[in-house]
Amino acid sequence: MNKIVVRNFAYFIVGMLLSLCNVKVIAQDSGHFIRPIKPIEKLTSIQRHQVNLGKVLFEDVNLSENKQMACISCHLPEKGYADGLPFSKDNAGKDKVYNTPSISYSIYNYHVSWTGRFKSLEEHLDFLITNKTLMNRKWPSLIAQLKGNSEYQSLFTLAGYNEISKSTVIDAIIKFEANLAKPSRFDLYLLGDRTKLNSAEIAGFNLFKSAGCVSCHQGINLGGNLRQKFGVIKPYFPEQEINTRDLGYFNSSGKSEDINFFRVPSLRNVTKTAPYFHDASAPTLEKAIQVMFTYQLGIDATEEDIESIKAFLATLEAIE
Amino acid sequence: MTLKRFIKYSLVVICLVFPLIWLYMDSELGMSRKAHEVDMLLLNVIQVDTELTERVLRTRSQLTLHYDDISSSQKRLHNLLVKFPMSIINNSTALKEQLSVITELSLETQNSLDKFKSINSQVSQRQRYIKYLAEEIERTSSATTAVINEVNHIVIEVFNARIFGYQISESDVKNYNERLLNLAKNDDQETQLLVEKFLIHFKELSLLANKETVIVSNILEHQLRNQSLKIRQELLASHYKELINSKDIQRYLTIYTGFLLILILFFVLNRRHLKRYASKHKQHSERDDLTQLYNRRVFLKKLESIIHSQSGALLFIDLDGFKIVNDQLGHNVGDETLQMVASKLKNVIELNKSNHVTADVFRLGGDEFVLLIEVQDQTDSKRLLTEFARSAVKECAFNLTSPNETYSISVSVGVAQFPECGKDIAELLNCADKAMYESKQRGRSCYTFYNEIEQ
Ligand code: HEC
Ligand code: HEC
Repeated sequence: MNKIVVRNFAYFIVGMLLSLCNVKVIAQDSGHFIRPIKPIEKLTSIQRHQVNLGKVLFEDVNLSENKQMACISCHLPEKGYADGLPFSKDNAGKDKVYNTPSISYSIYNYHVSWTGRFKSLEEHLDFLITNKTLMNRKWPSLIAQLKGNSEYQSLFTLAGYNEISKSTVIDAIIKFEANLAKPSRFDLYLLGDRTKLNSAEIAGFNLFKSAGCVSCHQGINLGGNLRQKFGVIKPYFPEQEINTRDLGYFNSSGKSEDINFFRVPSLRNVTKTAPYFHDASAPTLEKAIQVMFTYQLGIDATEEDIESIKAFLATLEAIE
Repeated sequence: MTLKRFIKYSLVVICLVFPLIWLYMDSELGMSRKAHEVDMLLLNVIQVDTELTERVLRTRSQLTLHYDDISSSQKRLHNLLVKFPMSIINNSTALKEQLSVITELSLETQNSLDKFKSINSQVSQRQRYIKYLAEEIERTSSATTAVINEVNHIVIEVFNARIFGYQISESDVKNYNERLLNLAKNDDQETQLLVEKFLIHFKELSLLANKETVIVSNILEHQLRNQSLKIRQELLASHYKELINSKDIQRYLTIYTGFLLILILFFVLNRRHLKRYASKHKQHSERDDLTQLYNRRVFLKKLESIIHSQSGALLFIDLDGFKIVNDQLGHNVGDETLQMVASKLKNVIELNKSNHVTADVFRLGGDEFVLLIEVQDQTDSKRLLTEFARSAVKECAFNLTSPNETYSISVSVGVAQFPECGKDIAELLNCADKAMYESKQRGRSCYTFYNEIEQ
């Protein structure tokens, strides 16, 4: 009899201790949800030539079939490699289905594109070049064109490529994209320089964690590594007459469980890439943050909350 | 001699070439490149699968949101398959099928992982949300302590369930629901609304958490790894089967056995050669070249072996006048003379053969011969020996005629009996020599018994 009492008491104590630990876990949110980008060391000369070649390709309208479109037509450097428009125009002059995202940090995204239907930048780039509404090229003719150009020949040689081929073209453009990712003040803060953020920004970061943005926007890119429903707590899209576009990843997978699922986008450089969301439905960052609070977290955010978060998001701007 | 050399060189060459052939064949027959590549791929897939489950479990139990880790493993898995050099298995439908199974499973696994990340994140976020609601309830002035306690209890229950991986059953949820609603009955409108909201999200959360448990257990089934292991085993088995049936190996085996046979043949030839050589050499060492009689060495050996056990005698035989023949008629005639004497002595043995004696003739060198006689019958010994000695003297007396002159050849014989004259070889030889000398003294062409010499 006595033994049982003692044993139960022991269980009780252990249970209480565990609960305490868990409460502590909740309170702390266990820290490292976000990994810093390390400041980039100096590029080697080969790497510099590769990046440079990628840039030339990125800006060359001759890559497109109609000789009027380059990557840079929609991904503008001064707009954080987005274009500031709700929708860019495709090669037929029609609006694209999705808003143009920034590509500055795409290298760190696991899922590529708004719905995350591409598994890698390589795959996506192949799609871009051959897509009817964009570059609309066949690889053999594009390669032949580049081979016929003496300038490109020397650029490829300088960049250390043995040949001009699909894989080297893709490699060069991706090297260029990779080089766009620059550390921000926030990275320096995470790396240990606590003076980089002021108290308002740190408060914003804490709110970002405690409110739960961090459960979706985390990792090195504050997003980009998982798909999530847009409208978790409250449906964001009208249930009737929903746009095909807004079905999200369902359009690719065909599974009902993927309806309204989108890739969680990176929040790096987010201050520079208005308008927001795949459908450009939020013209300002405040609006975007408010939508997130309401539909993704079910929290009625105050003006201050939004300002605080916005201050934090501003620390994610790349240092020039 | 040339054959010998030829064999020797061939052997050296073959011994050098053999390991080279072996090495070459070994590399050719090692796992084919495509099988090797597929094997490496499967090994890597198995490794990534293990890494993935480890990361999933860590993410789940530690409530940290390191989806980057999982994503990087996913990327590795994806790259393994994308970067696999498909062209090398173009001609093998079996491998292709197996790879397509792996590719399919890998897609499924990746989907499960995407779902895991998504649900895990939703669960975390809902968890946070009900905690937020719990705090809201605590904040409203009208909430009673009972309600607040119950709400906090539920929050902790949910965290425990997640960390220890147990499910919150539907009936549990229902019980909590009823209890909490009951407790909140007396609270005001605002609190009741919050409690209702709390309960809705709690229910949603428990559903999600259960879903997460199912997905995790799916991932823990290691389908990808198990399938890879299975295919690896099949691959190895079929590889060996293929190897055994392949034309290549048959060709190599033929070449190899061919070489082996040649090698064995050479060894056999060489052995026979050596054997012949050895027997020739033996003859050489035992026989006298000129007369084909046994030589001194054999004589001594024979004498040694019988001197202590047997009785008998030595008949020392020395040619008379041989030196003159040799000097005047030349070596050839001398040699012929020796050969003649040898055959005559053999004849002597033939003539005196009987059951009681065995005799052998040896050439000790120069013009010295010896008859070694063993006598079984002691009583008759003297007569038998005399018989031998006499017939030797008689037989070996003959004339050599040359155009100008006639030379007469004869022998002087000395007999030393053993064991009477001594049991020591040197002593015996000495006695025989003395007896022979005595015969010479007595006028040659006669015989003398050592024990009859008057001292
Ligand atoms: C007509 C305008 C347009 C042009 C030209 C264009 N893009 Fe885009 N880009 C877009 C749009 C719109 C999206 C979003 C597409 C989606 O999510 O399905 C996008 C998405 C991307 C992404 C994915 C970003 C991410 O992280 O998911 C990358 C990378 C990219 N583009 C690179 C390029 C490159 C390289 C070129 C030149 C070959 C190029 N783009 C040309 C409009 C354009
Ligand atoms: C349940 C997951 C989830 C949570 C929690 C969440 N987000 Fe998002 N966030 C998303 C998804 C999904 C999108 C993309 C929506 C789209 O494609 O239309 C997004 C987009 C955004 C964007 C627009 C990015 C762009 O480039 O268009 C911002 C800004 C943003 N979130 C900020 C936040 C903030 C601030 C919080 C916390 C208050 C938060 N998010 C919480 C999932 C989430």
